[in-house]
Amino acid sequence: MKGFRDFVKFNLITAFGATVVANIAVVGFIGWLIDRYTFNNKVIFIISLFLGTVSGVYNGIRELLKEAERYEKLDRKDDNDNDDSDSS
Amino acid sequence: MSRKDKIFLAVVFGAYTMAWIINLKYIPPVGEAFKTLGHRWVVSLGSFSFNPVTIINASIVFLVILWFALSVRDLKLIPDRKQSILEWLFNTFYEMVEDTVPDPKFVRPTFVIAMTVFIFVWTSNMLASFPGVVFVGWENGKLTEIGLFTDTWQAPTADLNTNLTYALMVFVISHAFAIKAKGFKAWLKSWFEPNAIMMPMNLIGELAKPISHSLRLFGNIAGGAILTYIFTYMIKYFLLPVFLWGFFGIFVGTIQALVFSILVIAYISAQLT
Repeated sequence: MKGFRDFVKFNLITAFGATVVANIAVVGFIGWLIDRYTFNNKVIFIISLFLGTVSGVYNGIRELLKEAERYEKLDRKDDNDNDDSDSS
Repeated sequence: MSRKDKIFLAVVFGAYTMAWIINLKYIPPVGEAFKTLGHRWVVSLGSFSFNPVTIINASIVFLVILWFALSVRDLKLIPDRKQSILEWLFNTFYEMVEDTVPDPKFVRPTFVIAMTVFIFVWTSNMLASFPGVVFVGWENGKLTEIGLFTDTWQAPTADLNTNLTYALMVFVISHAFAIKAKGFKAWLKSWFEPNAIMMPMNLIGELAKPISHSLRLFGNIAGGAILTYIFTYMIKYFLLPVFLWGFFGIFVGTIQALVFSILVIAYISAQLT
């Protein structure tokens, strides 16, 4: 299971990238819609792209930290189990 | 390799060579071959439009899964090869869900959802590793021609609608589980963490989840299909396509199905944490 988990950890890299891009897309789309029905001069759209980048990096890092913490806990649990089986 | 395997391989290679010879006769010029690239056959019923190929191929996938499920219905005490592979797969997934989901009450439902998604997505992706019936669409969505063995089957997962349906389903399920596990008030409060100013960020992060979830699978499968088509045309269907079908269909297909179902588990567990 640990070997499989190590393989799954590589998913974190693409997960971070996908989160950033998806956040930019969502906020960009909302910004584009607002811009279209208000001033129609692309200012809100550009601002929303920046906000999307900030939100993407924030959510990406939050997700990374959460996953890293979970994997750390599981690895520690595996190590403890191995130590117990070695001592017995 | 047994005699049966050798005969099977010889038949597959013979069929492949025949398909190559037939296709070589009908290879269109470059301008024509790439004119329809990326276009889909779209049927409109009033204001509702859909791609019939996705529905046909998804039905084929359902039938294949049903046939396989019926063939392994009678489980034996001493498992055969097919049953062993299934048991290993189900066991690995169950352990993964057990490791990830914090609330033991939700382990089994999450496992059922993730496993179902994996089986459907993996079987769909496998379709893209076999040459089959190809429906060629045109810019306005009209069907221009039906090709036989000129390209691989179009995987239902190469259509964004399929992936988005699954991603939205997971999004709704994860929040329903969160409400059930924490209670409505605690769930509502979780949107305002660590403080109320971060609420828009949390909202955007949640809305982005189904989009990144579905687009990642769609990009990999649809992109792989387009690349395979271009390379296949460039080398006039000679031998290399087998490697490309194997790589994009089996290898990338398996990895992406795994990633998609791991994300199902991760998104559900993130809501329960």
